[in-house]
Amino acid sequence: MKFWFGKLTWASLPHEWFTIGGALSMVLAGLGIFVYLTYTKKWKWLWQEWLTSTDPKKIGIMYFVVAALMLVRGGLDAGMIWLQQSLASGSGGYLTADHFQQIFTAHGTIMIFFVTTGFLFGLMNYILPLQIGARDVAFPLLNTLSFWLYAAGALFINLFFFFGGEFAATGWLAMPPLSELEFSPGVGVDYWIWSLQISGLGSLLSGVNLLVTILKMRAPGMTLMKMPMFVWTCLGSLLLVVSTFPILTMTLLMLSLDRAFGMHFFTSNLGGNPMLYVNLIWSWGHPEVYILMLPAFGIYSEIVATFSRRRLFGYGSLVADALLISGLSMLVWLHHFFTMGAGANVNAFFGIMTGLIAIPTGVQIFNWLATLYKGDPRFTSAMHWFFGFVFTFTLGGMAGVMLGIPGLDFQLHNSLFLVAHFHTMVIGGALFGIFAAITYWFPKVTGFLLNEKWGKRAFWLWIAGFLVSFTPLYILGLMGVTRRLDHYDASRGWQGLFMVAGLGFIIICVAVCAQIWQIIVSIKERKQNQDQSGDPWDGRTLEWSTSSPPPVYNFAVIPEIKNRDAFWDMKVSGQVDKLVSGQANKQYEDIVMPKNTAVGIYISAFLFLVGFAFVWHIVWLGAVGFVGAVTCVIFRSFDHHTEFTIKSEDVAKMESRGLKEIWQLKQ
Amino acid sequence: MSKKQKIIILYLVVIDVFLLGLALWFFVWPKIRLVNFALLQPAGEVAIKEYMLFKLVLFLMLVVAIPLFCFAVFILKRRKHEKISLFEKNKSHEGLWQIFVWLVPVILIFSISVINWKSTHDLDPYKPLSLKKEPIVIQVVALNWKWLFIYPNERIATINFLQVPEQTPIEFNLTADAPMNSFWIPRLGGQMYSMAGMTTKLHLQADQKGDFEGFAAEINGRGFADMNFVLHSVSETDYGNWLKNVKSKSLKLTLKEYERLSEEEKKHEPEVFSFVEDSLYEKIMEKFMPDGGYMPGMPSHNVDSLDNNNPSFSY
Ligand code: HEM
Ligand SMILES: [Cu+2]
Ligand SMILES: [Cu+2]
Repeated sequence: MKFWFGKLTWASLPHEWFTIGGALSMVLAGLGIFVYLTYTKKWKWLWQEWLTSTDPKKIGIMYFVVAALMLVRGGLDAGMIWLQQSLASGSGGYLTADHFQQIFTAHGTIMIFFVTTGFLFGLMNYILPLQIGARDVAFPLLNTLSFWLYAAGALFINLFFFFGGEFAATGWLAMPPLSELEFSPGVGVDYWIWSLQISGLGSLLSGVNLLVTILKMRAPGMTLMKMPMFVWTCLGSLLLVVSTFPILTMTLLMLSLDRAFGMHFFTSNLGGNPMLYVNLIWSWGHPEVYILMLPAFGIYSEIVATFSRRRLFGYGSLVADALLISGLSMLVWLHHFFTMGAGANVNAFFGIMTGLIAIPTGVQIFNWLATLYKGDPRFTSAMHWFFGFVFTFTLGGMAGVMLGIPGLDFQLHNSLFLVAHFHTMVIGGALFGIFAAITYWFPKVTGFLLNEKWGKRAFWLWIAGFLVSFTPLYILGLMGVTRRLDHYDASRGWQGLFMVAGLGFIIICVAVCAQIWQIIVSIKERKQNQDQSGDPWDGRTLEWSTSSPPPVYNFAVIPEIKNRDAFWDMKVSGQVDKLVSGQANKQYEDIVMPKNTAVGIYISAFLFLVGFAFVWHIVWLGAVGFVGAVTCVIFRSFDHHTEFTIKSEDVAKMESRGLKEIWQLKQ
Repeated sequence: MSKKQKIIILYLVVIDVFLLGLALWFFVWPKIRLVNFALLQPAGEVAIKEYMLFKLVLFLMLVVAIPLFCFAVFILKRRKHEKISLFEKNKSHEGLWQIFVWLVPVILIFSISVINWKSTHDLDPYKPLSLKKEPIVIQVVALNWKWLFIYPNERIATINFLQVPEQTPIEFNLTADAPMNSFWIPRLGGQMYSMAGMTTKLHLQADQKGDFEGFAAEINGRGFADMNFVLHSVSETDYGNWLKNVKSKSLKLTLKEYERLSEEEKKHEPEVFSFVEDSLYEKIMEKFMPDGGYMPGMPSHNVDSLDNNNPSFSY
């Protein structure tokens, strides 16, 4: 038995209310989907059209689906956290300390790794190739593999519901020695490690892939300084991905060696050193927050330029900002532990470096406002998100600058003030950016616009909910309340503010409902909101020059770029008709595209098994998983028929037919 | 102006007023004392300096942020009359504007950097507070889930509470015999980590009499939320009496008793010990050190260097 199941026993199966509930709801949802697909006979369609697709546009949409599901999961966690803290005055509350700690660990991990990261990689997949005038990413197989690793990681983090019943209770960065075997003997931390290990590998591969795509696959004529701002900020973000995700991988590997084989990298005794982990994890962790933030900056740049109908003011500055932010963010990690006893010189150095990041960040905001000032702004719902961002982000940035001063950080570190800071940044910065992007690019993806009225309502609800839930946290921070408290003395008088924060959470839930309703309404009214031009906002960049949704190959004729804001330039100089319809240019060429492949799915599945084997110490399963993954790679490398050709006649046909047929024609 | 724009403007005005109010509030604050605002009611030299730093930095940033917000409001409010030409010939002033947009944050951040450098050295937790008065030394051991405080010179120990004379510098030496922790008494000053096998230092002082709460600020397991303590700051004479009182009891903290204590994992009521095992603190640290305690390249692991005035842990 031990050989076959390792540490896994009957006792590991769900037996507490939350694991039973979680497992049951997931099984039911899975069953529902299964029945639906079988009943409608859609399995084949799903497999061929979506799951095995190498089309970055479809992969992008799949990222969005997974990230949205994970947002619900992380949101439920958030609700449970707030409920506990609102009730837990005295010895109250409905959760045990241990359970509460597992929830906030899962919440943080999921929101960063699976929600924000998922949305942004999805967006990059969809938009980047279109904006640089490419037909695909550089390595299509790697792209499906990255997505599936991400999806496998997302599944993995939910696996503890079924087996083991506990997640890490260590906080989202699992600092040792708390996360070492001595203090966390259960499987929770192992689940944490391996879900990040699997999805982190996906992020790294995506990073390499998209970076090469940007550097190598731009349309002829698009020099670096003619790239759209979104491409630039993604470039900055991807540089950070490839330079810092290896740190994460190795750090997690060392931690797992400690846990699985009794090594002593980060233990307190026998020569290990937890401070090493703290340094390593933050030298990935700080860049990570900018990995999430930089693409959002790019989104705002695109939106501001488009909706003020003006080329971006200070493009050169904005490019410099993106690169400076990317570079500086690798030099500030120590600000997360000024309180670990480094000397004044070291602390001051990192404090000052931290402050420096505020310079390019501030310059960006000034330049966006200047663009709006010079232009003719339209306050669409996408612009609402932008303005919401300007206000929340400036507030959060001020809090950040304060935290970056060691003398202040000593008092604010690990308090709810810090929690409020980073939620301001991640919600008001990255998440609002994602919402703006959804509003802005939705018509490109679907061919019809999102309902503006509901978009604006959702925005106002979001910002109200956000302020109501996080202002109390700033105040609580000033009252000296530490983060992650599962209960507190009634005499302290904190409960009221926690309850206000809980109210904010409810408002945010309403806001999310408004967003869901927005999508439903828009689908219902898709006839009225249809956009046949492919360019509903009077856009400036290349993605607006194709049909909506774009054909598999993105561009029937690869455009020649003469200027920045390439599409605007074409519109102004009257070339655009040629390009959009392809009518003027009947001479299409054959287009070579990558075939679908399931190899990514197989490799991810095998690596999933490896992770599972490590969690439960099942040696044979680990071997199977590892050998399986390697075998897949080897087999694939002998497959030379990985591409297919779309004949020029077919291209012509597709170009002249309606959108629906284009979708169906795709392989 | 449409209704929606009006709402937006109203909204922004509210935020601005809010911010201005906040700024004012901080400057007239000392007169308004409410209960509970630990960081805004500093009761010790260090906390007071940190609070002043807080106000100063907040003020500097508002100087830039408020005009920025006003500019944003102006853009929202403004009605454009002339139609923008598609061809954007007009690129004037871009260079000037670029100088301006870089200069403003550079000046702001430069001044904050100067403050940063100075304050970091001034508020270095390793720096003794004053030379006039001999500090009391307190050795802090973070356990699961309670704080053990050893007064090595007085040879007594307490759990989950501290008694100190007012207006006397305190030198905390911190270590842990449990997961990494962070020691925090908000009204006296900022945090410092406590880590197994290492010593970190923190200098604080209570300027007035009173009870000041202390917390464990770094997540460290199940009992995290209960790991609180109170620091009683009393007059010099009361402190002397207290010491005498403690000494007259007969609760001893031997190594064996310590082992028992460190293994019991539950919420602990405050307790005193009238006698402490010789160099208990050093023995606790030694538990984590191979080969008699010296680890190359890490002075913090060297027990010999633990003499009090010499910061034994630095990068
Ligand atoms: C002006 C720019 C910023 C500055 C100066 C800044 C500064 C800081 C500092 C000093 C800390 C550490 C505080 C402490 O632990 O005591 C911190 C924490 C954090 N920041 Fe920022 N930050 C900035 C922007 C951002 C952005 C853009 C994001 C995310 C998109 C972000 C996300 C976070 C997160 C997640 C943490 C806390 C992590 C944790 O302890 O769990 N920050 N920030
Ligand atoms: Cu950081
Ligand atoms: Cu050390």
